[in-house]
Order: sequence, then C-alpha cells, then structure tokens
Amino acid sequence: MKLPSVPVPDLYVKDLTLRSPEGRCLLSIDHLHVAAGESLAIKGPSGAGKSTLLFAIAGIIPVSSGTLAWGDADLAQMSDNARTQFRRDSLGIIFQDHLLFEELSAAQNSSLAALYNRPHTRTNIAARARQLLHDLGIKDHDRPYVDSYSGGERQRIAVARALAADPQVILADEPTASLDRETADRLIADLTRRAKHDGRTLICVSHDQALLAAADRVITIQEGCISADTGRHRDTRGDNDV
Amino acid sequence: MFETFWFALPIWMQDLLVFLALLAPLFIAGLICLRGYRITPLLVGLLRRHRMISLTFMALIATSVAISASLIAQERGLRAGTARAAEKFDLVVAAPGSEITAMLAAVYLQPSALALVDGDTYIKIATHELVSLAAPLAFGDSWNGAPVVGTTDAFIEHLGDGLSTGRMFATIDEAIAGAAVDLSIGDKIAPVHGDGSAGAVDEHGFEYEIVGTLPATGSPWDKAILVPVESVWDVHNLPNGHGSDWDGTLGAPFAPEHFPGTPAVLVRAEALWANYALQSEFNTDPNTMAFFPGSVLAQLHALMGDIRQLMSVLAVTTQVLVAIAVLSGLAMLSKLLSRRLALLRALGAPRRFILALNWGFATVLIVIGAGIGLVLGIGATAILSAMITQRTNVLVTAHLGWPELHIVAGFVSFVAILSFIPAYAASRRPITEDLRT
Ligand SMILES: Nc1ncnc2c1ncn2[C@@H]1O[C@H](COP(=O)(O)OP(=O)(O)OP(=O)(O)O)[C@@H](O)[C@H]1O
Ligand SMILES: [Mg+2]
Repeated sequence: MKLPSVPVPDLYVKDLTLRSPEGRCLLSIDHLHVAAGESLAIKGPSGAGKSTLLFAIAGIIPVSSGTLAWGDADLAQMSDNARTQFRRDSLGIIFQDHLLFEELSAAQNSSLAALYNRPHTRTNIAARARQLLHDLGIKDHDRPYVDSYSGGERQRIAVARALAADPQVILADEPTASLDRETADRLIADLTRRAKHDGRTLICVSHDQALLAAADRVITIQEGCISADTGRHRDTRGDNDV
Repeated sequence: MFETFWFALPIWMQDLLVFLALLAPLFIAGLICLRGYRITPLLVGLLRRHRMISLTFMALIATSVAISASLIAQERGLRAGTARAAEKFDLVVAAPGSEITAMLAAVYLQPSALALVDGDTYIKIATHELVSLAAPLAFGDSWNGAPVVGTTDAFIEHLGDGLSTGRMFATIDEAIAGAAVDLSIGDKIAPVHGDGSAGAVDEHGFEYEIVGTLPATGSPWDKAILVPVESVWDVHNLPNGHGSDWDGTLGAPFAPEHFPGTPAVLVRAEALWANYALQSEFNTDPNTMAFFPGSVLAQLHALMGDIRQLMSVLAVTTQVLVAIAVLSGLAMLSKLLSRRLALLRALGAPRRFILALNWGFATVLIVIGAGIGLVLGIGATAILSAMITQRTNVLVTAHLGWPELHIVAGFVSFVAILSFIPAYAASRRPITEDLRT
C-alpha cells in the first residue's frame, strides 16, 4: 500500500520571527535544523509558542521574516497555494484538540485526504486509513458520527488521519495527551518506528516523558525562543547517518 | 443554416434544448469547480449537521419557485380554459352596447342587463340565407344558483354535440340540465327570477321536469339549466313567439309580431367566410352588434398578456430576492463553518476544494429547493385550477409546462453562478484565525 512520495527534505530555520496581527512577537528562532528522518520533541510551558512553531513549520501561519525551508523550498517565500500543496503532499498533522469532523464517521475522518488528493491515490488513502484505525484499536469505523467516540479514541482517529496519506513528515501537537499509558506507549512506539525505519521526519510537541525519551532530540521553547536543545545532534547540512 | 435546423425540430425538442441550455451554466460551472474532487461525504455531513438551516433555505426557495411557477401556469390555463369555453360560440348578435358585457353574459353566463334584440331583427337573422343556426338565448332566471336559460333544441344540440342522457325537451315544461347541475332525469324544479342571490324568492309558480342532461363542456353552461325559450317568455307574461294558432311545437319558426325580444342570438354559418360576412352585415345594421367571442377574448388575453409579463417579472424578482436572502444566509453559515474550512486548508485541501464545498452546499440547497418547488407548484396549480373552476365554472386545467421549467432552470443556473460569490469569499478566509477560534 505504498503511496508515491517525494524524498524527505531537511528542515532549516534561520532568523525566523513571527508576529501576531497586533505586532507582538510570538516566535523568534535564530537557528534550527531538523534532519530528514529525525524525531524531534518540543517541550515548554503553556503559551510558550510550541503550537505556533508547529503551525509555522507546516506553513499554516505565514512567517514575518527569516527563512523556514524544507529542503530548497522556503515556505517564507512561497505562496499560500504552494504551502497548501506542500502540506498536502508531504505533511501529516495531528492537532492539539484533534479537530475532527463530528458529522463524519471515523473512516471518513481518517481518509479525508482522499477527498481532495489526486483521484488515483484515493483508494490507497482510504485503505491505509482503515488499516491505521484497525492498528490503533478503533472499532466500528462507520459509526455515522465521530463525536460518540471517547477523547482517546478521537485522538487516535486524528492520528490515523495524519498518517493516512503516508506523509514524509509527521507534525504532532500533544499526540498522547488524552491517551492512557499503554495506548500512549503504543502510539509513541509506532510514531518513532516510522521515523527510524521508514525514514519519516517526526516533530512532536509534548510533555509526555515517554515521548520525550523516545525522541532523537528535545528542544525547549520559552517565550518564543529555543532555550535548550538536547539529544543526538545532527546539525550539519547533508549529514544523514544516524 | 441554424434557423432551418432549429425550426425543423419538433417543438418538444426545442423546449428540451432550451431547458438544457438554461441549465448548461450550472453543469459547466459545476464541472469546472468540482473536477477531481469528492465533496459528497462532507456535503452530506454538512447538510445533516445543519439540517434545520438547510431545510429552511430549501423551503424558502421551494416556496418562491412554487408560487411563480404555478402563477404562470395558472394564467396560461385560464387563457386556454376561457378560450375553450367560447369555442361553441361562433358569432353572437346582440343589441348594440358593450361587446365584453354581451360576451360575459352570453358565453360565461354572468348576470347582466342587456338590451333586447327585437322580433323583426331576429327574424331577419334567422332567415338570412347564410345562417344555419340562429338561437335566441334568454337569461334572467335561476334555480338554486344555477342559471336557467331559455333557448332552442338546435342550440342545445350544437352546444353538447348531442345529449349525454335522456331526450330533448318536447313540451314547454321540460328542461335539460347541464353536466354539473345536481339534477337527474325526472327531477322537478321551479326557477326564480334573478340569480337567486338577493334572497328575494320570486317564484314564477312554474315547474319544469328534467328530461335530459348535457355532456360536460368545460364551460359555465355545465352549471346551467336549459329550457324552451317559449317558456321563459311565458312565465314573464310575454308573448311566446308564436301566434294564437300555435300547436305547441317548440322552436323556430317564430312569428315576428309575437316575438318579445331576446338579449342575445347565437349565430352559426357552415362556412367560415360566411361567419365574417354575417358579422360585418349585422354590425352595419344600427339595430344590432355582432362579434366573435373568440376575438373579443383574444383582445382580453392580449391585455392579460401585459399583466402576465408583469407577473413573470414579479415572479422572477421574488425568486432572485429569495435567492439573495439564501445566499447571504449561506455567507453567514460559512462563517459558522469557517473552523472546518480552515481545518481542511490546514490539512492541505486546496482553495478550490473549499470553493467547491461551499458552492456545492449552496447549489444542492438551490437545486433540491427548486425541485421541491416544482412539485409543490404542480400541486398548487391543481388546487388553484380547481378553485377557479369551482368559482367561474370555466374548466381550467393548468399544468406546469415548459415555460415554467425554463424559468426555474434559468433561475437555478443564475443563482448557482451567483453562489460562487460567497463560496469564493469563504475560500479566501485566513486559516490561522479561523483555526484558533
Ligand atoms: N493570532 C494570534 N494573535 C495573538 N496572540 C497569539 C496568536 N496566536 C497565538 N498567540 C499567542 O501566542 C502564544 C503561544 O501560543 P501557542 O498556542 O503556540 O502556545 P503553546 O506553547 O502551544 O501552549 P500550550 O502548551 O498551552 O498549547 C500564546 O500566548 C497565544 O495567546
Ligand atoms: Mg499548544
């Protein structure tokens, strides 16, 4: 069930600033490099700007100045349409508050990408979504309304949605927040395995110690700046060995 | 080249092609906008989630479509019905006056006071060499609200192309009932003077027995009771059209000196040209006025044509106003939906997908609403027709036809194109703000 994919690019961030519409500085990152295939965890106090950073990396929030590049493609220079296409082709995003479509079933939610992706990928996406739901332990995928699922189940449906198109890069905002320990551990193992074995890049915002421990590298965000960067550094351009 | 091809097509094919051409913008726009996307699951989800709003919008559109479609169909049905009711009245000769009043009285049996055509004039008409039927029509009495009209057996034969049951009246106290009169053979009636509405019961003390009934003609004559004209004169204490040596044989010939006058004479000639000749001859006679009810009606219809145009304009305006109301409602709704739309964009859905989803939502409401409107329109048309038939006794059978379908198709296409505006606006909303709220 392989989907056609572009090779995973590295992420380069340089002198990035991001301001709120009112002009308040929300993010200020001098330098960040995430190699392809690396798993990075982001932690920090509430309101520090972790979700904002994730949104910026996804090209959802336009940056105010600086460079934010996936490979050669600088999101800061790209049009809104091009950034959207980049998300469609390369990213899988798990949002902090799941953001599911209540009026759709679990199967429909997790295969949402099939609706707007190229027609020939549709069956693959839908089949992968079902397999993922199954692997993540979600039963009866066709219950008409997803809001009858528990918080943890909804979170897993959101995970299935993010992974259904087999993205090169997985962005996750607190993916284990509403899961019990056992389910959380399984998910962590699954996500990190994707990074290690399938060469996917994984960037997670989390407070979950297990996730932080499983990640190749942990950065801490405080008041919009990176205050700490620990773990196996692979900070050289083009260096791809583990 | 095109014209010869076009006019060679059967009418229904032309209508169908016009209908499809009017819907073409909808299909082309839809094809361009939806190409490559599957919006159905989200669309069904949205319709389910916002079913009250969706149903309200559909009901609004359905109502406006139903009203305008049935009004236009009704007007057409009314024209056809009134024309059909006048079919048997080739030429009417009356005393000079208003043609419309005379037509309303003679053809549609509306009570009115007409001057009389005198005996000499009547005989002149009846004995004219071109005339094959000259029937006096004497109004003024009624029974139970049904007009009682004095005439001759020849006219009754002509009106109904024969009787449906029973036989023709043979004596002065026999009568023929119209198809819609609640009387059967053997029933006895005693007519009163006037249309019976004033409540002043002024019985003549004269009884008729029903001996036959007419088939339905779809005209007010279905509600009439037809009696020998002699009896009408008789009960009003007038000479009965025949001399003292009368043997009781009803109908022509009448004696001019015993002919008390009649408000109208129905005249028929075998040949069409002869009818025109008779009309101009009796019109130049200072004692008479002759007219074709069909052409008086055509004048009335021409007048109504202007009203119909006005009505069409009003109908279309109403539809457009409703559509605009619905579209602004949808624009507001898409604010409600903004978080979902932003989420889709955040996940990587292209702008055109958001546009397609919004447009599809609006278009589904419009198309379903218009469809329900047409069905309602068919029902409303049937009910209105029945009501008009009930009130005027002019059989109106209005059906939704191509003109209504064309208007609705044009409306649907127009609004579908219009709904790109809110859909486009929704697709341009910033993602971040909508995602955070
Ligand atoms: N569009 C915006 N306008 C103004 N302020 C904003 C905007 N977006 C985010 N912020 C502010 O930026 C700060 C960082 O928000 P962010 O959501 O990134 O925090 P976080 O680190 O993810 O916190 P948490 O752990 O609670 O999720 C917050 O103070 C938030 O109020
Ligand atoms: Mg957050």
